[in-house]
Amino acid sequence: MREFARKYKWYLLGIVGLYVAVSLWLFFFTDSPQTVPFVYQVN
Amino acid sequence: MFWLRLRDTALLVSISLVAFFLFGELAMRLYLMRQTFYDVEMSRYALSLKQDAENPLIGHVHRPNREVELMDVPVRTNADGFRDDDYPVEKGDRWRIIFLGDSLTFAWGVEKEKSFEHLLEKVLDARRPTEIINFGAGNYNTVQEVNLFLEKGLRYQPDQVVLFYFINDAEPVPQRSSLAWLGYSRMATFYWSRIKALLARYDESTTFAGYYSALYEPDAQGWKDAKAAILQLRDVSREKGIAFQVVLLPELHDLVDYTFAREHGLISEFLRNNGVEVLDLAPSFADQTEPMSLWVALDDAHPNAKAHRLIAERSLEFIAAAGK
Repeated sequence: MREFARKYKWYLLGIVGLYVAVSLWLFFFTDSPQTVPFVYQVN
Repeated sequence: MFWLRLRDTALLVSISLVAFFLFGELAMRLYLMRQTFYDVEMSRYALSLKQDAENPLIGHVHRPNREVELMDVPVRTNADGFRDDDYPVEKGDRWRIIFLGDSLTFAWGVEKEKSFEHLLEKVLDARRPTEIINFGAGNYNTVQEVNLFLEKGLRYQPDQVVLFYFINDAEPVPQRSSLAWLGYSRMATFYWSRIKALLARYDESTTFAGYYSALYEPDAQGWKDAKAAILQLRDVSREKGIAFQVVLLPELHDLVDYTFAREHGLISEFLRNNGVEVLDLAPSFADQTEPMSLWVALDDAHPNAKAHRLIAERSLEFIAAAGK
């Protein structure tokens, strides 16, 4: 596993960076007054 | 060679997803120590206060004697699971009113002392000894509210029952999700919430306006069930000599040119045609040109303390009249 991580270190960082970028985009792009209905959360 | 590359790619994606999820969960929890996020709070509400009801038509009830902070506001339930003081089941000399409703009546995001239930109780009690028991519970629809009243409310021998109706009360009775456990994850809640908000930008039927309007299509089962439940409550109230009224609470996005005027007209017409006293509060809110000043938060259009005060002021005489 350690060898795998060393071999693909930059790929791993790149993919995680991509997830973070998508999350931040989602966070700011949808940070607006409520537009959706109140939804059921009975969980 | 191909299989080796495929295995490495799958491993790469899996490890990065796990690392991202763990990092994101930690970051989100740190962020939420300073910020309040409506969907996370709703999820916390469900997990900390709700439990399944034995009656499937009630769906869920509050756990009794719980204390929790939601939307930065303390919430305490009494021995019967209501967000109210404990009341003896046996009625005394005071005029006893039961308020039925959903999260708006529950006073989501508002301190109990600033809720319209509490404010109305104070004023009515000064006129003549009155007590109001708040049966409001988050995510209830009319069917659930009426069935809760039949199961628990009648025992309290009320003199009056007021149903606070909100535009989404014609939804079908909610079912417990098989993915409920995801509510423990702030990351999962964040993604679920924000993807929903993203979809609402492109799909009219997922916005609050399109979604609520569709609840009142002629063949909508939820609206048919809501009407049947209201008639059931009317008949039981008549039989027991209980005054029964309905107050229509406004949806707080556009009050000047009210978004749901057609639907409120439909509901009021149904109630009047069936001999139920109704007060539609939406027209009396037409003077509110800044609706967001009435919201609990930017991402939460529940009525805040100011809106609760207005609801109390503007429904006072209607509710008082039933007791005369």
